[in-house]
Amino acid sequence: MKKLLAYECKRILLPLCIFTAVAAVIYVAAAFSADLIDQWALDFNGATGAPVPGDRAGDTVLYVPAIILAALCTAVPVMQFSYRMKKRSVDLWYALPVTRRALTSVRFAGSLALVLVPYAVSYWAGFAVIACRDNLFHLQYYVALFFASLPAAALLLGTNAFLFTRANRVGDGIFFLLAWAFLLAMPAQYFNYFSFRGMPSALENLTNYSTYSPLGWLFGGFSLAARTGEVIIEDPAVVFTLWGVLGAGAVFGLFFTAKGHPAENAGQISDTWFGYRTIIPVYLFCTMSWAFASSASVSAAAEVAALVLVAAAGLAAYFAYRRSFRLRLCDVLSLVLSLGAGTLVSAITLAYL
Amino acid sequence: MIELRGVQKSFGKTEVLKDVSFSIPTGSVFGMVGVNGAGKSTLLRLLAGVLRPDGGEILFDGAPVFENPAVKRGIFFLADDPYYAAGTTGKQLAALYRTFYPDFDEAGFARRCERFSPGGGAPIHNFSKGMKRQLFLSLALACRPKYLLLDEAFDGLDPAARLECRRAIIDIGESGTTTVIASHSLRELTDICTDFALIGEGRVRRGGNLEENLSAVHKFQAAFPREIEQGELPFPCVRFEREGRVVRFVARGDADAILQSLHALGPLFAEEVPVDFEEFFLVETEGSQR
Repeated sequence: MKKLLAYECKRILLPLCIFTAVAAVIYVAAAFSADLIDQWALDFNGATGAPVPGDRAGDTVLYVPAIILAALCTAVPVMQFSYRMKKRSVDLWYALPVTRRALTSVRFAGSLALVLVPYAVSYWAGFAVIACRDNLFHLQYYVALFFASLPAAALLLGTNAFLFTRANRVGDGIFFLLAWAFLLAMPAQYFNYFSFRGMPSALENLTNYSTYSPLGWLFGGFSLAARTGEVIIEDPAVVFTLWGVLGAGAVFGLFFTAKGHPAENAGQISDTWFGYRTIIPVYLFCTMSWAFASSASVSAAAEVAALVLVAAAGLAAYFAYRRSFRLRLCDVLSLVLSLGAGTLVSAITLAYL
Repeated sequence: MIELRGVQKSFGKTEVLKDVSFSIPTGSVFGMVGVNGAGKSTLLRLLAGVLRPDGGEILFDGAPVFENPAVKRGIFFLADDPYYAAGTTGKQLAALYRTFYPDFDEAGFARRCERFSPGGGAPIHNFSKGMKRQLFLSLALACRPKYLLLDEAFDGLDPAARLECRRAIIDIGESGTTTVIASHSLRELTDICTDFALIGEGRVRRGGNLEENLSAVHKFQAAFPREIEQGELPFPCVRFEREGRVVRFVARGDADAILQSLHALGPLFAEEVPVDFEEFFLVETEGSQR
C-alpha cells in the first residue's frame, strides 16, 4: 500500500504542479485586478437602502477560489477514475496485485491531493495579495472559510467520484455527474413555480438542491461575513445536513462498491439506477410538472409545443443512453409514463390552485 | 498448478464460457486455442483476476485468484492490446511494474529494450506494433512471474522477434514459470507448447499433452493409378483432400494398420507425413462444424 501510494504521488505530480500553478495564477491575478472597495460596496449598500452596519468593503474575490474548487471537484474524479471505463486500462489495473478497494482508496487519496493542494496554494496566495492590498475586510473570515471549505470539498469530490464511477463510459460519467448536480432541484422547481402557501421556503429554494450548493452557500456566506462581520447562510440545516449525509453516503458507496466492480462493463452501455434510467424520467416528469402549467397560461398550442419539446429532449436522451435509434419497450414506456405523469400532476395542480 | 473447475462466464445474455474445467501443470507452456470468439481472451482475463467468474472456481496452487493480491503477485497478464497512457515511456511503465513486482529485473529489462528502443526514453505511442509488443514482453519477462499469461503473444512480431520471443518463453519456462498463451499462431505454439486446450462452444473441446494428442492423429499422402473417392478408403477419415490422383487425408487410429489397409488399394506410393498443430486444430474445429 505504501509503495502504491508513493507511485500515485509520482503519477499525479505533473498534473498537481500544473493545477496548482494555474489555480494560483488565476486567483492572484483576480486578487490583483479586483476592485476591492468601490463599486461592489456601493451596490451592496445601495441594495439595502442604507449602509450595512460593519460593512467594510466590496469585492472579496471569494468567488474565484469557489469556482476553482468546484472545477477541481468536477474534473479530478473524471481524471482519476476514468481507468475503470476503458477495457485496456481495466485489464492493466485489475490484473495488478492490488485489490480494487485499495486501488480506489489510493486514487481517492490522489484525488484529494489534486483538489486540495492547488486549492490551498491558490487560496493562500490570493489571500496574501488581498491582505496586502488596501482593503478593509474582516480577514479572519478568509481563514475560517478555508478550513470550513475543506470538508465540503472532500464531500463534493466523493459525491462526484461516486456518480462518475456509476458509468461505464467517460462521457456517460460526466453526464451523470452534471445531471445529478441539479436533479434534486427539479422537484424544488415545481414547488417554486406553484408557490404553495405555507410551504417552508427551504423546500422551494432551488439553490439548496445542487451538489454544489454547500460550496456556494459557504463561500457566499463567508464573503458576506468578510464584508459585514456576520456569517449569514440561509437554510444551513437543509443544505449542510442534506448534502453532508448524501456526500458521506456517496463516499461510503464508492468504497463499498469498488470490490465488486465488473470489469467486463468497461465501455459498455451505462445501465445503472444512478444513471440514465433514473435521470431521464425524473427530469422529464419534473420538467412537465411545471412546464405544461406555465405554457397553459399562454395558449393551448404552447401546451402542445411544451409537450413536444420535452418529449423530443427525452427521446434524444434515450438515444444517447442506448447509443442507438432503436429503443427498448421499457424506454418507450418510461418516456410515455414520465411525460404523462408530469402532465397529470401539472393539470391537477392547476385545477386545485 | 492452475485449476479451473466448472468455470462459467456470461456477458449479458451471451454465455461465453459454459463449463470450463482443466488444469495447467506447473512449469508447462500451455497453449489456449480456439476459433475467433471462442472465449480464449475471456479465459485469460478470468485467469488474471480481471473478471470474476459467474460460476466455478479458478485456483492458483489451491488459492482463488480474484481480488487476491498474494496470488496475483506471481502472475503477469499481457493483454492483446496492452494499455499505456499518452506520452508514457518504457521507463515509466517499468516504474509502475516495479511498484507491484519486487523482483523486477531492471538490468534484464534494459538489456532487452536496448535491442528495439535504445535509451528507453521514447514515448510508446511512437512505437510500431511489433516494438510495443516487444516492450511489453520485456516488461513481462522482467517481472519474473510464476505464471505468465499472454494474449496473442506473437501478434505483430517480425520473424526475428518471434524467434526471440519463443526463446524467451522457453528460457523463462526452464526457470519454473508456467506460461499460458492464447494465440492463433499455431506454428509458434507447436514449437513451444507442452500442453494445450482447445476451446469451443464455451467448453474445452480437447486438451492435454500436445505431443500425445498430435500422435493420436495421422496424416498420409498417397498417389493412386486412378482418382479415388473418400468412400473407397477402408477406414474413416477426419479430413480428406484430393488433387487428381494424389490424396492427402487425416485419420485416427494405429498408423501402421491404416497404412496396411491403404496398400490394399494398390497405391503408386503411400507415406505418413507429420501433423502439425495447425492441421490438428483444423481437424478438430472442422469436425465440430460438420
